Amino acid sequence: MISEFLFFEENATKIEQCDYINLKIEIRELIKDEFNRKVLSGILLDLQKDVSGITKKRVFKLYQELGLQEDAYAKLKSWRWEVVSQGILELTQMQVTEAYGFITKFINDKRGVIRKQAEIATVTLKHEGINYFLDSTTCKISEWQQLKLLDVIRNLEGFQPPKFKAWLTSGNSYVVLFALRLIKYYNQNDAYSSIIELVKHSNNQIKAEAIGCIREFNILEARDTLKLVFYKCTTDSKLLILDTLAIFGQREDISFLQMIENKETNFSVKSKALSAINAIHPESIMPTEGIQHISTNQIPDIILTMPEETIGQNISAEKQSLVVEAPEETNEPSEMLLNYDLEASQVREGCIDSGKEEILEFNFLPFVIENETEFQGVLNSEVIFEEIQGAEILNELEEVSDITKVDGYKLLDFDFIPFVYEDEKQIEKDQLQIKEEEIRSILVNYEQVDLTIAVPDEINSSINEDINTVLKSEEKDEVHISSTLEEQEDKGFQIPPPCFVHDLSVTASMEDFLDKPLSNVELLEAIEEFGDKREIPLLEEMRDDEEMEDFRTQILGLIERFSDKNSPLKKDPITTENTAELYSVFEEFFQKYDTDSKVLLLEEIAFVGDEKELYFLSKLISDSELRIRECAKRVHQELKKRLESDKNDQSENKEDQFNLKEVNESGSTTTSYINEVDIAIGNEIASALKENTKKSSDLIPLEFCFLLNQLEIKEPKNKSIFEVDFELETNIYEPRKEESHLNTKWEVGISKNEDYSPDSLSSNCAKSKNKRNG
Amino acid sequence: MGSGIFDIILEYINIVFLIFTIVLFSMFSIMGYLSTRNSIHYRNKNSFGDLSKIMASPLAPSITIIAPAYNEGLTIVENIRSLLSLQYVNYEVMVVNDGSKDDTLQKMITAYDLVQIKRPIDPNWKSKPIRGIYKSRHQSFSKLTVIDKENGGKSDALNTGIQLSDNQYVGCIDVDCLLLPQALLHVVKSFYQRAEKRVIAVGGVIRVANSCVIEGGVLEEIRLPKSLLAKFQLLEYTRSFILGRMAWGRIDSLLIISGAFGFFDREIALAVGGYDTNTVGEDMEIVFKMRRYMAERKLPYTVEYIPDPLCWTEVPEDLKILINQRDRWSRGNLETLYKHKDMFFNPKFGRLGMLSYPYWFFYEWMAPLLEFLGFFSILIFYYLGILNWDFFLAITCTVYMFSVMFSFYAILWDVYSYNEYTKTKDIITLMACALIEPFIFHPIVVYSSVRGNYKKLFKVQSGWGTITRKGFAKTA
Repeated sequence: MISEFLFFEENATKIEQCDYINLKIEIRELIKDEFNRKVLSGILLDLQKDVSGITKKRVFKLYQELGLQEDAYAKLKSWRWEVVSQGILELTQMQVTEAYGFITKFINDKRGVIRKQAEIATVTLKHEGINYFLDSTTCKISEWQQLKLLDVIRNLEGFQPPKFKAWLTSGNSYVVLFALRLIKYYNQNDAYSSIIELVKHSNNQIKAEAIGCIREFNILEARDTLKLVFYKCTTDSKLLILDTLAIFGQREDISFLQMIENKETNFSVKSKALSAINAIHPESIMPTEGIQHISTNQIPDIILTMPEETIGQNISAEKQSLVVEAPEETNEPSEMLLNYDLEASQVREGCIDSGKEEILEFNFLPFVIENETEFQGVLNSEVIFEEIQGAEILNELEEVSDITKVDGYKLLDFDFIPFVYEDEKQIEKDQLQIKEEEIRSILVNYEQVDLTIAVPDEINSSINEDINTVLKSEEKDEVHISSTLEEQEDKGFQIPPPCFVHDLSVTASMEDFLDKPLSNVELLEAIEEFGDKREIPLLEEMRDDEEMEDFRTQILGLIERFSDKNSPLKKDPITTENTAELYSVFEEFFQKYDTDSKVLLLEEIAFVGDEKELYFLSKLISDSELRIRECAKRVHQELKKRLESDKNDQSENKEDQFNLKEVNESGSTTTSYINEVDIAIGNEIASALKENTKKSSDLIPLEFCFLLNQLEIKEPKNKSIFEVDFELETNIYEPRKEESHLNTKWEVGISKNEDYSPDSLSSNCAKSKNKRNG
Repeated sequence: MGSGIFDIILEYINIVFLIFTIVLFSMFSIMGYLSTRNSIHYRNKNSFGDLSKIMASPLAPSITIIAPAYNEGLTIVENIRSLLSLQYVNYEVMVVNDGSKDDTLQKMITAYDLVQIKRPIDPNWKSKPIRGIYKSRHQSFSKLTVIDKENGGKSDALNTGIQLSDNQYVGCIDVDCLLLPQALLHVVKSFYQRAEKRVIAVGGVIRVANSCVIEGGVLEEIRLPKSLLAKFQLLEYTRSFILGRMAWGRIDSLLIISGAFGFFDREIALAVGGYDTNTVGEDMEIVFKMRRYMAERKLPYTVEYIPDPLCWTEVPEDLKILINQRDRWSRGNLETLYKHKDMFFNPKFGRLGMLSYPYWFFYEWMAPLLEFLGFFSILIFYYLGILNWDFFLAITCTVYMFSVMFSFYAILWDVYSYNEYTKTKDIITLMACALIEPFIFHPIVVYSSVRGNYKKLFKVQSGWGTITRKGFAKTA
């Protein structure tokens, strides 16, 4: 029945409207009975909790249309508090705003439950109810009641909170307290002075709430008042004040906080004061627990008198615990850091006053050892530095590498240590004085050089090879490197001046090696063995650059030999001597087929022929048939042009020869390029060095720099080979434009002759002929 | 001459017993009335409003629930989970591991991913050293704090928790108790509802969880305990909490708040020095102290009592454990009464001194001893042939009938108020227990009390004893 009312629509049919009116009459009849009225009131009160929106409003409307609020009004007159409360509750829940005036009478009722219910009703029924309540209440407002009132206000639709500062002057301290809470909740920051004044209130709750507002609104002006009232506060209020000062206190407040820390007996307050000091001025209060009192920074006697072994062990143990978590027993080299302080200037000067016991810091040098026992030996050894000539560095490195073989110590290579130069001028000063003849005698046999500083081991391995090669070719050692393990006192090494040599990424191409000829015995031998007149320009360039007389003589001899037309190495593909090799497959067909077929074949030769066909065509030019002669002449010219074009392409492709071996291994068909190349890495390294000295973020190994300097390696003339977009591989694997163009043509030709065998060719020619004939 | 004096003594004894019985009856009758009034008032007052609405109110106070744990490895994880699922926002669960010998701490660390934290501790605070304070790494367990300390007893553990808490109110509970989700809402309301008085403590009803179905820290089904001993205790708890404490709460003379579910104003609790570590009746003693503190300062205060069934716990089903428990209670009672003996009929303390303390002295401490003495007197009188049979039978029947009637009233009022045990069979079972209780269970309680008093008076060393828990997960 109730749902009929609730869900009745105004635009219903006439019959439905009649039913609705009849239903209303029926209900009115029913609610004449008191019990029915109670039941209906109860149902509507429950229902309004479960519905919302328009339906809820219809419930309210129905409640009032049926006059059920009259019963609630009657309850207000009851002498029983629970009945009055029930009446107020019903009127509040059913939003009977007309009851507002009746309910406000109970706002100061002596019966607590009625009073509280009236307070809630007053605030709920009208938005201005909160004003009336705060104005007129003379009773205490419990915390629970405040909490409920705030909950009601929060859920009021379209509620515009009044300026609650008006009630800060109320005579009812509970009103003041509630107003403070409302001010804080609604962020009404327009009552600073009143709030500051309320900090002095005798009621601890008001005081605490005022402090809370001060903290919330960052009222800096309240600092003095807070300090003033501090000692009269309870512990909780003191903690609140200290919390507040911690947030916006200033340096001048620190003395006050320190005084609290000194005078206050309560641990929590003292602790909070210290916390506030640190909040205002961080790290004013330092940790005290577990801190050892050390009066001087001198090394304790016990350490000075400690045996070196013990010190070493201590360092080792400490560093192990701090830096390296190495397994106890491992065959892998462990990397450890020494912690010695060494002034760079002292090192540069080449000597260290032995009288002063300086703690040197070597923590930039990773020492790699095989096991801990050996490392102890290293630690126990005394390292003495002495000035050495820069040119001696190679021998130093060799000796250092030899250290791995002596006296049971298996120190690994130091060649990964980044040596640092300070400036380039210094590098030039320290360039090694090695004779050019000796340098040129270095034999380096590389097919590909790929050096990347990011992977130092690779560089090191290649550099070590170079160094060893150089050193093997040296007969005299100018460099003397001391053994840091055995001959500690007399020998040492000098750390060269720092050099900012950076990111080195080298990918050398064959073109670079060819364009920048190095005197190389193996290269000359290779040219002598496999070269022809095409190597003449290279040899001439080498001749110009070469200073060694022997090599010049050898180069000149080769030039002369290749220039000689009778030279056996002179490979002219169309010479009569090579006739047997230049036999064209087309000759056979020309002997069998008719003229038309011959012309067709000639057309094909233009696309598929090579040097053999040129010779064959030259013969046909003098053929008896005019048609054949003319066609042969034309095809000869076309073929010649094409072959020349191919030749040019091949010469251009020589720059790709560097990766030839790689390509061959991968099954590429471009096997006709260069088979094996002897390359010296000098130019590439030099260019890499020059290129990368421009950057200042990374370093390369020092010995690598020295090697480059020794070799006088300079940057190559052409475009840097270190560029990231160097397209060597792309050219190898992907046909160039010209090639693709040719290939396109080639494919066209092939498409005409699906099978390129002589038989198929002939058959295709026959087909063509038939078509033409047809 | 001798027989004349003896007769006079006998007469006086009869008179004393009669007066004692009449006063007892009167007191119990008044208690029944007061508890009824209080229950009705409580129900009416709390019929207006929805507690859950204020759960996350900005004005809601902060609460710390302190749960001491000693060798609670069996149930600790489940119990903490239950405590963390309460319907309230601003609260903290502080579990104090009181030097457990089992894996209680490790289980908590593992289950809640705890890590040790550092925070300043007042060096002057007298409690056993704290070994570590732990917080969970997970945000979902941010309300949990675990304190690991050396063993110092329940009181010491609770004191540590009170000291380390920063919140306005502290709740001291047994970790093996099950709190209903809305428990804290009721507690907050109790603390906040008074404007004219300061609520210094809030206590609540303890319900018997034996045989109830509890899953995942939630009470799924309420069942009557299967054990007879547990049924007797259920009846005793119903009588005590529904009628006794409700009545004392009505006249603001509640002297005891159960250690299993008690909440205190932290400021006052700290002011009185927390729990007394030298007594086994610490839950009663702290209420005495707090009341005394407020009364001496003439500050308006009250102790609230919540009759809603919010806390459920296991009661001992083993006779030996039960006797030990009651033995401890009687010792605690005696210790507390002795410590605050100056309150006895001291008008300075108002109802506390003139009513509550004397009641506890005569009817909580002395009654079992008098019963015990009366029992032996009857035997002696019977042996001497001077037993007045008519009077004996009359007073025995009256006492029995009255106690049964009182139990019936408690059962029916509980059914009317909260209707926890919905099956008729359960109600009849409880009523049957009320009939036989004076013959079976009551002598056990009297014996335990006498033993406890004997131990205390003759300084026989005895501690807390142990209660073996089945664990909630197994109670079904």
